[in-house]
Amino acid sequence: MHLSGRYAHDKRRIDLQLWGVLCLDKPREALLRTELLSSLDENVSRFRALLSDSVNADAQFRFIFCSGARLCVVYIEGMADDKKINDFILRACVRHQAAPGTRIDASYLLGNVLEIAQCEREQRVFRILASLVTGMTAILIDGSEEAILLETRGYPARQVNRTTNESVVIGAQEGFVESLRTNMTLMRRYVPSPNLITERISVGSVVPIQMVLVYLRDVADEAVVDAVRRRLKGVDARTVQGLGAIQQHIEDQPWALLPQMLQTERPDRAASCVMDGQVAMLAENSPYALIAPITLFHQLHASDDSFSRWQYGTFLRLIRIVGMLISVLLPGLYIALTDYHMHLLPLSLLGSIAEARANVPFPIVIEILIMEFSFYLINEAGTRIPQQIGSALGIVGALILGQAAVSASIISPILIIIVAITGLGNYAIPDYGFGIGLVICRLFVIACGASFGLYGFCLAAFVLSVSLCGMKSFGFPYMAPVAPARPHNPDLLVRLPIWLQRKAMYFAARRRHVENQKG
Amino acid sequence: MKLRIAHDAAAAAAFVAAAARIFVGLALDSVPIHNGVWIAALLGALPAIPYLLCLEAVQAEAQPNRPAYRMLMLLLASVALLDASEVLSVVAKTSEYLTINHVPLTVLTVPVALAALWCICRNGDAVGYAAMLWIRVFPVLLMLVLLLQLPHLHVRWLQPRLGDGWRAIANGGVRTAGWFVPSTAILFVSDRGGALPAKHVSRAWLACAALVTAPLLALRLMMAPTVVRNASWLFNLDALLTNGRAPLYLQLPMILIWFVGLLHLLSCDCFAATALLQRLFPAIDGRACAALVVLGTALLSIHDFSVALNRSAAPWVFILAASIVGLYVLVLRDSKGGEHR
Amino acid sequence: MKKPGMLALLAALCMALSGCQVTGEVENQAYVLVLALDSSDDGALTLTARVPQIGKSGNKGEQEKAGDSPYLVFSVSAPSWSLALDALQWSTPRQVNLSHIEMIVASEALASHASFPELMNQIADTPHLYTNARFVVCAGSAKAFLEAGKTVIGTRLSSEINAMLSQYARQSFIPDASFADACYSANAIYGDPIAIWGYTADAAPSGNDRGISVVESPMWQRFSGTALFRRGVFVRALSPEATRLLNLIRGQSKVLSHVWQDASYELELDSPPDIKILIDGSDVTISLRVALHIDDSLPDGVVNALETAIKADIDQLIVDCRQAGCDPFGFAELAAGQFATVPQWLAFDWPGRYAHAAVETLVRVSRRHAS
Repeated sequence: MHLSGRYAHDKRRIDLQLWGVLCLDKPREALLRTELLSSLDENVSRFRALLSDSVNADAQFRFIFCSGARLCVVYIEGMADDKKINDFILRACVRHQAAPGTRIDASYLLGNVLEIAQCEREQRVFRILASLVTGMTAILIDGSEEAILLETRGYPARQVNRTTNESVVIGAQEGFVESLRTNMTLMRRYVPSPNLITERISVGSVVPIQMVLVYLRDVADEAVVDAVRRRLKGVDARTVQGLGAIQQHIEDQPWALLPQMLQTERPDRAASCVMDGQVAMLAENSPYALIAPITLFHQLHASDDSFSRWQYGTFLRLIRIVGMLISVLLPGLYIALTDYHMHLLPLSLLGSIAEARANVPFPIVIEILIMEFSFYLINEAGTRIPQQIGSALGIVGALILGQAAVSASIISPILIIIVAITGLGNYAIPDYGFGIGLVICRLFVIACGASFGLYGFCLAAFVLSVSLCGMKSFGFPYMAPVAPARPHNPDLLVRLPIWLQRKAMYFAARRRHVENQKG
Repeated sequence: MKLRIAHDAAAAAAFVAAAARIFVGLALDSVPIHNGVWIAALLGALPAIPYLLCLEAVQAEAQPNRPAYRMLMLLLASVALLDASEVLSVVAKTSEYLTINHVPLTVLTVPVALAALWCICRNGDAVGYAAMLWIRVFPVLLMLVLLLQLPHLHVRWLQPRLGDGWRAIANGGVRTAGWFVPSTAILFVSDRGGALPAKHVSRAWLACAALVTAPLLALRLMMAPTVVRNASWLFNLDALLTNGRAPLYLQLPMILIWFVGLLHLLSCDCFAATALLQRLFPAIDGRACAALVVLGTALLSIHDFSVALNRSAAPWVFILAASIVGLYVLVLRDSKGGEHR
Repeated sequence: MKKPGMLALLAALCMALSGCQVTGEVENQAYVLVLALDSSDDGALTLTARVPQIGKSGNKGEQEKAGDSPYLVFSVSAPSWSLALDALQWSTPRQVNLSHIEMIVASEALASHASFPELMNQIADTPHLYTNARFVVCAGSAKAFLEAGKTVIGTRLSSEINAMLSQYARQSFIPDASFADACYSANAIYGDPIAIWGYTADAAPSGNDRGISVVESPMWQRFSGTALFRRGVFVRALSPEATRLLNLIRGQSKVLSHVWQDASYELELDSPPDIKILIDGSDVTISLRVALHIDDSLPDGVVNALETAIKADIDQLIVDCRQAGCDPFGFAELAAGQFATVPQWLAFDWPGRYAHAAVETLVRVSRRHAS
């Protein structure tokens, strides 16, 4: 697998995991590099300095005694679960009576006092600090150079709910949420296999984000997993805002219009991809998964296709593909035909178009651009508008795009039909990012069609097809298994019966192993 | 940038290019051979296969430092460049005819040259796999053409007639063989260590290319034989696109096949010429080679002289290329035998 | 970033260069629906075009009755086709668009002129002229014939022309003749072209050989019969009855409506006519077998009489065509199949052989058996 230089990560930096090193002043940076001392007061003062306790209201330092030993419980209010801290840390420590002469240290507390399952010992200051800000609790012990990190994360999070952007008629309805742990649980539920690997990775140098790679051992190609791992570790950014930013950092062709990774908010879809040998990425605060590698056809498939009987699935998929083609090509074709190739329109249709346009003051290209712009304006406004006044937008949109524009002779009725069909075609595409990419492609086709007629239209179609065929997703051709042709299940443009689909995906480990042997 | 193309991608590109070239050549450029046009297409494919076998043998024993090998590369690059210039000229003139007749021909040449440059810079796999993609689309469009024009097609006109006789057909056959040569250049630069190397795939593709032109040529044939009149090029194009008698609005799928096929042919020719140029002068960057080739193609296409030269040279191209390749294979065999001894 | 920027700039430049051209919008074109060609005594060509007025939507027939025609007629005269086109463009206030011509009408005088085949070629070579238009040769002036046309049933002349001529062709009163076919055949060496024969009501014969006539009709144009050509030049017109037989032999019609003793009989073809051209040295024999069936309620006498009458009519039709020196049946095309090359075919001298060929016609009429 070929990886370009920008993904080759700085080994030293990653190994040190100097979290926060770039945003701290020199003295605090020096503190971060240290390990714990045996003096509790000294340790606490270090953490007070690092957490800016004098101005930070939510950093909590609670001194308690456990069988005479002095401890300090450190946590961030709101991120950690108060109930867990009260019931299983504070109460357990304060009430515990150790045998006389017992030395109270980290191992003793872990073995005899603390009633929380997930705990670990840690000496490095930056590790402890990184855990604190994610909601864990640290116990600093007087006379000990080790702290205990306890899993007490309990911040408020949204419950697992219905998907909002990838609705299906038949099939599971739940979607990913912002909590990484919940999302991992969802993946475990959908792929109940001991081979399912959830590998934690931290991305970002100043404010890191916790990520998890999810893949199926022996099914996912190790080279692909390694490529994903290396690219993630090689992300050279101070902060990363969720999976959307990650995607931009690690995709093969950042200049390409279409995404080379799949975003899905459906755990069942992510699980299906994982079982096909792809790698899913989950991140804290991102209510969706990122899948790689993918092909164009993944962007056109929806969960409904697999849940429905094959006849229905095939029909729906064909409708979607026709929708995509209409979305990209129809306005460009319309403008090419009406501006340059009137002889290719039957006279009755041409008469209708000409009569409808008789009072329109703009050339067709301006008319179509006005309509496209209005359409996206309403689309974007509809996304941002508060729900309470959403219905008003519908009225405005219907009036602008419909009756008013036609009555004022600004737009011809036939163009409204063209733009409406184009818009519908775009909405039939399951992937939001892919849909926006196609809209930009459409503008390119419109520009070429308006400039050179069918010659320009064909030129645009040709350039787009070459661009698509030149794209790669983690080294795998974007248009595979059609171009290049690779053995595949009858599940691309049409979805034939499920019992005919016996082949592993062409980028799954087992398949590649067999291919390599043949090669 | 190193220009490379996988063998399966090159085979697909060569297939589309050969089919498009034979169709364009026999439909527009060839001397009138009337209903014998399909015989000429098949006749031309026959010598192309042994030629390709020899070319593959030469490619397998790549000896870039040998003068004869470099001469062969130079010949193939020149042929591809000349062919590209003619194709570019046909694309521009066709678009001019199809109503963009208010602008100079150069303006119509520039965007397609830019598109070719863009395609080469995406590297060979993009060019070849795009051809592989369109191979799935073309039959649908062709079927659409046949269905739409069915009432206007007269099967009895497919009856083989030899037109001006065997001499004219043989001439067409040799020209057809000559049109194969630029298409094979891309196979010559292909990387045979691809993921799924298929034996004889290129030969099979090329043989198919000759057969695929049959339905296209059938459309061409299903015009009433007009041997009295020397039909002009433009009249030929209209007749080609709609069979002359079908309504003009049925031209649409045929125009799409026409333009996209020609664009593939152009990008295939340009890529082959660029890759050969880079192999001849490895110090030059791929993008610079691409720019040189595209610029050369555009300049040549503007002058009718080069286009006329390419047309008149078509029969000789095959003879020359086949002779060089054949001699090279003989020399290769002798030198191998010497080593054994 | 620089490279994509440069490419985008160049592409934008190309688009700007081409985009600056003046392209005609759909509503700013003058779509010629009918084109009429006349010749004057001084050899000039008169071109008359019928153009719809875009934007005058609504019921065209109603408007026409009210005297406000939704169509405009432009007529120009020039020494040649190209100059006539120029003149038409000059006289029309919009860009003349010839891509949607429904009908090309040539006057009898022009079509009979020796230069007509050359004119046909010039028309065919005109870029974007819709050569699949119906081809009509009319008696008298083509301009008058064009002006006589108006919407009668329906709302648009364009759709009316199609509907009307398709109807006549279905009834087999006229051949299904297009300008493209006529042009090809005029250039070909394997047959002769045909066209639709038309005339205006005032030029119509008062009654035909069947004794029927139109007493009243809002239709001022008449389309009835076939115009025969010899090497691209009009020679004579065939009656509707002969046209029906011609369509039957050409395989364009499966039904024959035949008149015998003041009654009309509907016959249907059993199978396509079996035509064989037998060439034995210099002797040519044309063998034509037509098998028809008819309603089984008819008596034997009528069936036999019909058989005889149809055979006689076909023989007469072939004689008429041979006398005119034209082969509208496609016999030449079949004969040419027996020759490998064009030079051999030309050396055979088909026109000379056809004129003296033996014709064997066999017509069989049987009763349709109720299943």
